[in-house]
Amino acid sequence: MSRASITKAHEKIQELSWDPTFVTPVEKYATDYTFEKAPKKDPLKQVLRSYFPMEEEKDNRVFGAMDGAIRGNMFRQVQERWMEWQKLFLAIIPFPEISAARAMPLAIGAVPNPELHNGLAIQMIDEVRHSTIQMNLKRLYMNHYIDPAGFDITEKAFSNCYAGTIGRQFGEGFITGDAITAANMYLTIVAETAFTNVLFVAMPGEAAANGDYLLPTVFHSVQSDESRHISNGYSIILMALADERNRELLERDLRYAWWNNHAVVDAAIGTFIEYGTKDRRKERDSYAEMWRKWIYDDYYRSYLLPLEKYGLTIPHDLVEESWNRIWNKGYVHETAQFFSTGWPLNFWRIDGMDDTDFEWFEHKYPGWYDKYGVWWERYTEMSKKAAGGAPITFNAGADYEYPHRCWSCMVPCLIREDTVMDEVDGQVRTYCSEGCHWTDTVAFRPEYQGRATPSMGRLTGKREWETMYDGVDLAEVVEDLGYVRDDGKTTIPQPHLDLDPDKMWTLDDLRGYTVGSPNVALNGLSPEDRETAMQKYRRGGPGGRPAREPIAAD
Amino acid sequence: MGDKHTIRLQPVDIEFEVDEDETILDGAFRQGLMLMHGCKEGQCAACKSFVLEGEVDMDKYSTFALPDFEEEEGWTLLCKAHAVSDVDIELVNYDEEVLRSGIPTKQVVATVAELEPLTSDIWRLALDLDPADGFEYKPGQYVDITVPGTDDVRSFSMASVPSTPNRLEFMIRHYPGGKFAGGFADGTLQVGHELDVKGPFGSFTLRDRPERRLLFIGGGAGMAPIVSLLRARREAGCTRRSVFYYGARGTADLFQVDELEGLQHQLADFAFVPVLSDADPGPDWTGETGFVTDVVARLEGDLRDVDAYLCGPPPMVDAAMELLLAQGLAEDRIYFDKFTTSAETEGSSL
Amino acid sequence: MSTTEAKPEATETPEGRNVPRPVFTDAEAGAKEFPSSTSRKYSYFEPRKRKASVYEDVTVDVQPDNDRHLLQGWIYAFADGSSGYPKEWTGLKSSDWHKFLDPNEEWEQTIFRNASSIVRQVQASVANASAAGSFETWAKSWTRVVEQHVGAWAHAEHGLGLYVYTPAQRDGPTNMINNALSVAATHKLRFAQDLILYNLDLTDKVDGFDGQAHMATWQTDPVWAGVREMVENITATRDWAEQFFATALVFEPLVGELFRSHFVMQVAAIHGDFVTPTVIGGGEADAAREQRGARHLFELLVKDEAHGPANVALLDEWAAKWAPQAEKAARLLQPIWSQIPEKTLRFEDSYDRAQARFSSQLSDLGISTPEGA
Ligand SMILES: Cc1cc2nc3c(=O)[nH]c(=O)nc-3n(C[C@H](O)[C@H](O)[C@H](O)COP(=O)(O)OP(=O)(O)OC[C@H]3O[C@@H](n4cnc5c(N)ncnc54)[C@H](O)[C@@H]3O)c2cc1C
Ligand code: FES
Ligand SMILES: [Fe+2]
Ligand SMILES: [Fe+2]
Repeated sequence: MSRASITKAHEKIQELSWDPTFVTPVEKYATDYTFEKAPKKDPLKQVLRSYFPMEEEKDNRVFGAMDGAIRGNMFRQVQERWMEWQKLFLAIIPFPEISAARAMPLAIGAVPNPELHNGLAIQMIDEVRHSTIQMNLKRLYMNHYIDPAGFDITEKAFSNCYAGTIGRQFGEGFITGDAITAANMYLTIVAETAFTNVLFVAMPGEAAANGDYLLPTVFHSVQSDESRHISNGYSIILMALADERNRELLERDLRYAWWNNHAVVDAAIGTFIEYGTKDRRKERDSYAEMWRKWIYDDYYRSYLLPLEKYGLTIPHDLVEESWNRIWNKGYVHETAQFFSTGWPLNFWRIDGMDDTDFEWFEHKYPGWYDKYGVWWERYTEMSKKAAGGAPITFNAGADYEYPHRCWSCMVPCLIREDTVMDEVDGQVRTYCSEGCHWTDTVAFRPEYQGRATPSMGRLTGKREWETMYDGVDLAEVVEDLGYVRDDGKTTIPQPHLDLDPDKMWTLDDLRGYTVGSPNVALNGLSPEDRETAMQKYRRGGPGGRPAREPIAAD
Repeated sequence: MGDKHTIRLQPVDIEFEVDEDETILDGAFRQGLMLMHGCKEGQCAACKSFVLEGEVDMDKYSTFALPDFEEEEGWTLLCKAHAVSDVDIELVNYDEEVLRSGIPTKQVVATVAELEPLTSDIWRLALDLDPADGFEYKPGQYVDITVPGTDDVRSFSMASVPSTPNRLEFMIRHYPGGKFAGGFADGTLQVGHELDVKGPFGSFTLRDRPERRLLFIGGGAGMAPIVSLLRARREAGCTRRSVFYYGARGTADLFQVDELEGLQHQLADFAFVPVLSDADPGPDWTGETGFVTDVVARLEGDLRDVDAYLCGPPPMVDAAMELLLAQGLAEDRIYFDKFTTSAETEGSSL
Repeated sequence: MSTTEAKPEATETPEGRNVPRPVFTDAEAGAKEFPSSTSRKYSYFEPRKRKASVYEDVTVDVQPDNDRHLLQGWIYAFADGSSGYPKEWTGLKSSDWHKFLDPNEEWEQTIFRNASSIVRQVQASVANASAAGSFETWAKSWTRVVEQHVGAWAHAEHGLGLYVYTPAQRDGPTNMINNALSVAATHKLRFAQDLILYNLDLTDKVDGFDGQAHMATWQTDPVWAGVREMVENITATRDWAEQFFATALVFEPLVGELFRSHFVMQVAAIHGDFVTPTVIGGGEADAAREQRGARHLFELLVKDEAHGPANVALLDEWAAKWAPQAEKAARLLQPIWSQIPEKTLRFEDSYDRAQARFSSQLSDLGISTPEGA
């Protein structure tokens, strides 16, 4: 179709909408935002007549590439270190995708603008596509990669692994709570426009460097739909900004969405990219460098800042603090270390770091070795199952204090000095940061800055994963999670990449260690002891080192 | 540094210069133009646009974002495109308001600071703004003022310039019994009263095209935005050749004349030509007479090299349009605000 | 990309180029034997047949559920405390909602393939007819029917696609249900656009064709008031299963098929119109798929060991609520049958056929056909 005829067709399609006269629309999904009818245009003028053939063509190329990869024996050159992390990444990501589809009616219901409804409905179709095409990619990995274990239990593992729960926010956050908070601010303005759009650009590059060119093919095909979503979100936020009454809500939601996305996405994607790669060329950008360029310069400076003059209050402090966490406080390194500490509870294998890796990290993050190098040497040492040798998780020689978990973002409180402890809703909770403390205690409440916010969502669920298995033997936990291979004893997770059955850990090797919940323990303490314990905890780190005894006179 | 080229964005008619070494998107950002974008890595297609004329070179990008057949049709990704000649680009994904004015609209409360008649039926109204509101606008734009005690709004163009912050100045025709301006004479509206003001709106702003002559034609209260544009040009030390034809009935209907005549000395190459339509304007009058459009037709020759800005009552604007088109001026070189009264549809058109 | 045993020298790149080098890793399936080295199927659900279909693999359990593997529960809730995909969002109950698998097995590839082939077919028919001059022979009265009534129908499809199926796909308790509903939304949205763009084509190609008439017809013509009222009522229904039932099993047979199959498809050809049936036919086939899905879902529910009788009772209520609306909508359409020159078809005959299919679908499910309908 020519452009002229698309414009004409698009105008024609607007004739389909009408104002109902027999009923008033039900408010299926509540929002505290208010919108006036505004004639905002759907700038992309998408018409299904040309949309379907276009997407079909993209599909054909993706499926063609899949055939090619198999025929060309791609898996003879993929890096296992990288592929193992795909077990986690691809377990998580189809859920956010499908959730984005489910989120569209929330936005449609809230925004009185039929022209935008069409754009949002097409986004729904896109997202169904993304979710299933990613499930299918994972299926191909399962069928052709050397170790299918972990891929084979993917959606179950997503549902019961602590890391899956962290990832699940990025998805549940799109579909639950205040309709605009969820489907516009969290999903489109922050998750899609900043974090996925930008950082998923980094993932394909890294995949290719590790011998996998299918992930780039699939993700490029997915990302190329993103323009629609970005522009949907942009139209809605401009409409929201036109009404003064939305100002505080926008401010609240941008703070929450920014901080949660940073906490979740930087933890995960940061780890995949920095610790999942074998590409240690000094020229390769580190995650911090990518973040600075894409999130800070491109998103924050050239997308968000211009909205400031439209009355959007931008959380400059949180943007700077995210960078501070990544650059100065070692957020990604601490997270990768935590994933590896808890390896028996994963459903993938984690490769240790060697001298080449050390050199690269030291080059990119000066001072890295002093903080993390020794621990990674111990990790490699303790990855070998010696008779009776404890996994690093429970090995005193690791010099690592198992962390408290953040009640809001559910990533542990890894930057120990930032940990906040507070009694909230009758329970002592810990938070990784002030931002997350604010999210639970201020943002997700029925009142905000003195105004009623009856539509705002709530944080629910059993948010500390360890609570689920407090006092249970590690081997039983792994068995209960279903992270066991088909011989009934070898575990799916392994702290190394060696597939020699004799070197692989089994349930027996994990027996005799008891999983404990830091939160249950904390709540069991007297207020004074708790305070003392927390002060000590905050003095710990970096690299998870427990605090040495306090020097007299605090 | 590489060669410089001019980028022209359609249909919004914005021009800017880029260096061959930078992407068109970056060039736009450098000029403060907020073009739609996402990944800036050639993958998300958010910046996809159509090249109407000219040539671009592309850095590496994803062929999912821009398949080969689309590239051949003329599509490009601005985040990866470098201009290698002057380029005309059609934007498909943009928010008109944001791009055009670059200034968000705000709803503020203003206080009447001055109210005085300039002629028998044109009044000067000045409003004070609360500096905390940070109200901004561009010369040539207008605001909507709510008629006190009603939900009706009336549009009025600023005659002031943004460099005098927190003070808006208007020139308003007083229709006896008019809902808004009717209140000037009978004391309904007084200094110290508060008014609800929303704006800015409109695209009667100066396009930056140094090589083209400027032709302003105004009538009645249509003087206001033109005065604003001229004042802004004086501040910027602009040297474009320009002339302002202004139509009024008699000498008593002329106002602001001192300032405009003064501008002839302050602005390089500027002429002010008042035109009176009264059959007999009196013995003192040595200036032009007749309909302003006829005078333009008589005094101006070839109009193909001008950018024309028209403002005033709809019949005058229509007559001037007709004349300019007949003289060969391209339609997209004519910018106008019609001062439609509220019985008709509101808003300016372009 | 070069693959096996690439010697490092072979990947040396020209001066200055710094790119990652392919490395032989042999991480291919079958390269080694070890526990789970052959565990190559998604093992967390029971496939319908021995081997899971692609549809099942890419759909099942992508939406978690406390009744399946979800360990920590949903982590966000609405203000009222409900979270995730509340089962209370419909009055029907199931012992296992996950039993529903879409009989059409729609996923990624099928959705886009089917939709693309329909839009291509529609465009080709219009182009062919136009080249053959077929539109020139249309009788005035037939032109009126197409511009007004076929045009009005586009609105019904649009309303059901955008404001019934699109919101419903947020609400179902499993991914398989919601996937089917979002595919239904996709179908309806496309069909509505097919119709309206066909209307645009005709505006260009048929002399005297009024491309704007459909709006007034839909919004003010009493003939369409019943259809519009029913569509609007379905959009304003909170229960997703009720929306699905009212749309697929009441509206579609009694109103949709009445107008599409038992009117347009029957009479177009006699009026020299071979294109309208192609456009309508695309939507008709999709609607049949949705009905297949609906029948399967409601069959599982009425046969549910624990909740069957309660579900039947509620479905009876729904049938009693929606059938009269559909019947009213259908009867109001009657005048259209007399607006065509070739009166080969009586409204009553069309209506009887629609009615028969409606009742038989319900009685197969054990739902009573309401009195009078
Ligand atoms: C973009 C834009 C910018 C504008 N800028 C200006 C500006 O800078 N200055 C300005 O004065 N106006 C401007 N106007 C017009 C202005 O908005 C008002 O519509 C106009 O001034 C009348 O307002 P009112 O409330 O006083 O009268 P209203 O209550 O609206 O009464 C005006 C009505 O009375 C009729 N009427 C009464 N007396 C007369 C008369 N003598 N001649 C003709 N009609 C008459 C009019 O036709 C109209 O229907 C602008 C309009 C637009 C669209
Ligand atoms: S901004 Fe994403 S392709 Fe250009
Ligand atoms: Fe997506
Ligand atoms: Fe998206």
